[in-house]
Amino acid sequence: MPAFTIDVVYQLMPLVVLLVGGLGFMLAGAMTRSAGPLQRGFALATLFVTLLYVFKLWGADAGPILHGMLIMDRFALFFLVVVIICALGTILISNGYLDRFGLNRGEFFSMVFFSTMGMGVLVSAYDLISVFLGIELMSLAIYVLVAFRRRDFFSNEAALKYFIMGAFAIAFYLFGVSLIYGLCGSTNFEAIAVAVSERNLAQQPVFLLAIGLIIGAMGFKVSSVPFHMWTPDVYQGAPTPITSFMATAVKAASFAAFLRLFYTCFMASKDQWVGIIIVLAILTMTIGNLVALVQRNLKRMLAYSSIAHAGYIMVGLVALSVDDTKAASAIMYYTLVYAFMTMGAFAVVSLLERRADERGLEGGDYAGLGLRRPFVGLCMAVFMFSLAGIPPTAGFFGKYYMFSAAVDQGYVTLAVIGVLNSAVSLYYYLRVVVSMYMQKSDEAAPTYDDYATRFVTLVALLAVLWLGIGPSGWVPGVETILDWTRASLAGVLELSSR
Amino acid sequence: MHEAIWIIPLAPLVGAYINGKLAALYARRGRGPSEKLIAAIGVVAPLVSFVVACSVFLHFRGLEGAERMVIVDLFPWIVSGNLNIGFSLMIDSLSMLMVLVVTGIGTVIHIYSVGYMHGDRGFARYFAYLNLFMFSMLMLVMGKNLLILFVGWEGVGLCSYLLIGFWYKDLANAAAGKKAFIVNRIGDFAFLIGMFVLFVATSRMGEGTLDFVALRAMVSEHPQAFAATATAAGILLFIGACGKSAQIPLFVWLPDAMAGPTPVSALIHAATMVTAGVYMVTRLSFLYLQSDVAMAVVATVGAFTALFAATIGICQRDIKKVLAYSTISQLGYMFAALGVGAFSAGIFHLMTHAFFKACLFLGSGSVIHAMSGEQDMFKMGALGKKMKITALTFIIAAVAIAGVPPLAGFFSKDEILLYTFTSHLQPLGMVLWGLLFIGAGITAFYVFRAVFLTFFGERRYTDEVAHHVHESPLSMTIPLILLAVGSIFAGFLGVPGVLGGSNHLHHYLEPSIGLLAAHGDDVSHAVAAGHASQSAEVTLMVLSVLAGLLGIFVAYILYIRRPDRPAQLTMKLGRLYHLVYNKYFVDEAYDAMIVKPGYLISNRFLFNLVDVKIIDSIVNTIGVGTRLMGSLFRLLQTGVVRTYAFFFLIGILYVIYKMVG
Repeated sequence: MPAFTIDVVYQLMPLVVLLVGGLGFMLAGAMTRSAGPLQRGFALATLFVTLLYVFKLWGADAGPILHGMLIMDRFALFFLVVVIICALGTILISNGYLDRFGLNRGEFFSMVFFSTMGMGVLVSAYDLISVFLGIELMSLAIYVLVAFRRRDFFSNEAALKYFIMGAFAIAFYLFGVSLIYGLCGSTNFEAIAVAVSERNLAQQPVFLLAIGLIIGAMGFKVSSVPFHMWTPDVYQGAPTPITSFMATAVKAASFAAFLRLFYTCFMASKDQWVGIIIVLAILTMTIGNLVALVQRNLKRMLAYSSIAHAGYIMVGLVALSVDDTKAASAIMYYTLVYAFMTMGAFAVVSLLERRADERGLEGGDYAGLGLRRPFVGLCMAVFMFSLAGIPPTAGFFGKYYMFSAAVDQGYVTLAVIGVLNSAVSLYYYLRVVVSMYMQKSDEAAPTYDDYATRFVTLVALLAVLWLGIGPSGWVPGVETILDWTRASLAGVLELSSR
Repeated sequence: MHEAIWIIPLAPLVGAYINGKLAALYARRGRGPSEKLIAAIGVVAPLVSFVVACSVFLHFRGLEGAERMVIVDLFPWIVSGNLNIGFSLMIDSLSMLMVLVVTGIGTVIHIYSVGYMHGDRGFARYFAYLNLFMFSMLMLVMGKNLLILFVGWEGVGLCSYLLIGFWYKDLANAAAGKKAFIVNRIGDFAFLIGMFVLFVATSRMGEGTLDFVALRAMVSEHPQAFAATATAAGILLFIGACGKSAQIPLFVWLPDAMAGPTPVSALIHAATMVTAGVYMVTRLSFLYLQSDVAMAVVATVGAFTALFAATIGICQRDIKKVLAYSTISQLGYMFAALGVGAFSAGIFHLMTHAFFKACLFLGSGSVIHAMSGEQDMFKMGALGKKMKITALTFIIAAVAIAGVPPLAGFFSKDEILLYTFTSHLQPLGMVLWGLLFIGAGITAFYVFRAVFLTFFGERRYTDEVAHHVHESPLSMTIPLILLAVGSIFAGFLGVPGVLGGSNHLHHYLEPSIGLLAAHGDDVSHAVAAGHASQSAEVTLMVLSVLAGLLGIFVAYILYIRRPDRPAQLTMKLGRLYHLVYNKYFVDEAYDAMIVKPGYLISNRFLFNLVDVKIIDSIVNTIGVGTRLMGSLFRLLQTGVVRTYAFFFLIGILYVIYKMVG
């Protein structure tokens, strides 16, 4: 069967559109100094076209393509939508931000597109090699984006740290892949699963070693303790829209790839690796929250908060089960919810951030914001409540599904630790709210009249509330989304049980 | 049209919203729209409800018994596990009557308020509260399940609090509001528990429900299974009713509630809100009938309250306080009726009482208005000549409450006395009848004491006050006349058979009310009435009329013929008078037994020891410790890539060790 039929090309269209967009912006960047409104509009349009293709493909729920390198099933498409939503938000936030910081150049969009395409490959990867390709494609573009404030010391430092550590981590991944290839004779997920069951590799020490190495690499990508140490520096140094892109899209895509990998290939060895994930999850939640307590810089605080949230999601990995998709579906729901609330929070941060004096990021700069700018203040308050997991926001239900999945599988202690951690996190999230509403500001930090960014906060606000308590009508509510996740996972399970 | 019963509560809610907005506008700008606009909104809102209610009533007239029922399920409200509560409204015969009383008398009192509150700074706020009260009260009587009833129940409590403390700048008023609220909360707590008990019991039986229709079906299906539940839930819910309807021991808030504007006293603290407890017990009559204990408790508390409050009424000097204790006493009569299974008699008295007591209150308001705010009856006198309409209507209402035929109070009170006398709970019934009988005489006495002191005898006020004394404006006298007419004729709805009537009201209410017959033996309350022979019935009637006339006569002697006697009597009775005059020192006793020890425990033990010393220090220690740990972990974050790689390596080694080792 030839690899490229029309059908295969059709399935690859989301990635193709992103690629064409990226190349187009590269060309445009070479010819013009700055990206005008036309180009920005074009960027948004390209992403919408991608979304359109995703929706068209949803019904097909196709099998593996390109000799099992990629698979455009619903699972991949679900995460592709999450990633594209993040990209849309990033482009809208960066619209005004780039102008304010004098960074407005066409390559920016080009890099966002390449990175998004990398994520597309990552979420649809069905082979250890395409996972690697996706990670690299995504990360290389991100390295450039992190360093986009190229005259800024921290930005450069952040990019370099991220690059070095990234190279370090991916080496472990590749080592793990080579071991698996040696054992199974293939890097294809399906082939690995078949080999594991046929040759009884599940308890084989070398196989377990490979899993361990891959867990380390995954821990790096999703910033799990102790592989997290790059996160605060990089998040703080990167331009804020990119920070939000990393915190949301990169994390979602990485979790997608590893969720599929674990679900398809590693479930037989769950007894061996689950203990490690438990330890890592506890460490990640606890250290993320504890260190976030003592941060003054809001970007850094959100960086630690994102570490803590990675910990919550890992609780879902612990509760993963072939018989019950509850945990996996909770992970999918959580990444979507987390994308909205984090994107929203970073959008507000970018509204206050100032280039001139490198200020606008301390807690004190938010004093009186709720009264000065009621809408922005309200949005930020809701995002903080949602991140802390207070009903009726989506953040609460995300945690609820996650922890209840863990309880169902018998990991009660872990769920309790998760809930206690949420209580700790209240302190630093609510501190922002307290600043905004209960402190008087002497020197008011201005917020920019950036309508695109405020639009992002509005959409995120509505999403955070709707995903929490919205009934399913013509806008998909919680139940619909959970149905989607179940449908996606059914496909993944069906493939793995073949 | 009759499907649109949701308009009935909605109209006052809209009115409350608009007037609330106007009041807020007024507070911000210092000036606002004219009183006319506010009054128009405020009065039209309950009027709309009244008109809709009347149309439903007309629709009902053509229907037979159990068909008189309109149910509107608005939306599912609370759905959680096996708890499924719809936001549903219901009008059946019972709530129809209540809705008519509430909207009808409510509209009249709204009109009266336009004149009474004229020129008050809080005019818009007043009407906003009053409309909100109408909304809550209508939710209370129209709720299809106990929870919606409870929402209305709490809503009227809130409005009562807001309106008692309406002139909040006077600290005493604010304190009175608070007292009402807190005492009511005590009752509400029991009410909540009662609801839980019911829900748990029905859950055990199958499907947990608080829906009246479903509950009734369930109870009638398995009456035996509900015996224990009926006692527990019945008594708990009745404690809630004691709070709202000011019965022993939770009656203490009502006299203080007179701090609010007088129309509020008339509407909320006489005609409608305080009868919520009576309505609730009647609504759940099918449940109460399963428990003789609960019924006996209701009857006993009611009868004792009736007599107890009446005696306090004898010695009050403040005209509104007299009426307040009278209200407590009359509510006691209603509960006594409910307790002996004469539910329709209780509701009958509720209705007639709404007319004459509202009339008395509004009349007293008219007097207070004329007297420039004076409420002490001993500083009034001979007002009859100057305020003819007020005096006449007041006297009509007084005759009605005294139980003189053929005015409204006679029929309803007489029915209650009859049913207590022939109650199947003997010998309790006889005792209760005795209490109520004495109470009836005292009632006539204290209310005519008020009449004579206020409108007859000598003038006891200064010339300066006399200068202002005048009849009230039309907006106030017309409501008085309407209510006086009601006080005369409302009784004819329930003329007993022995006087040639057929007790329309009783038959009308029948489908909504549980009958004693459901109890197993055939002492249906219709039959119970038949137990007394016609001659006995007439004898009882004559006795109670005589008691009333005697009370009036004594008042006449003491306050018109021999005005010097009361002072002598006071001297002679000394201690006893002192005791009654100070309301049996109930407030003081509560203060010493509950408030002070409670405050001491809260302050010394719970606050200063438990909260500050123990809980706060634990919390603070945890907080400080957590932050400290955060600071420690932060030290690991050196900013040097080498450290990061080092920790990465340690992590990987740990993972490999755990995986392979």
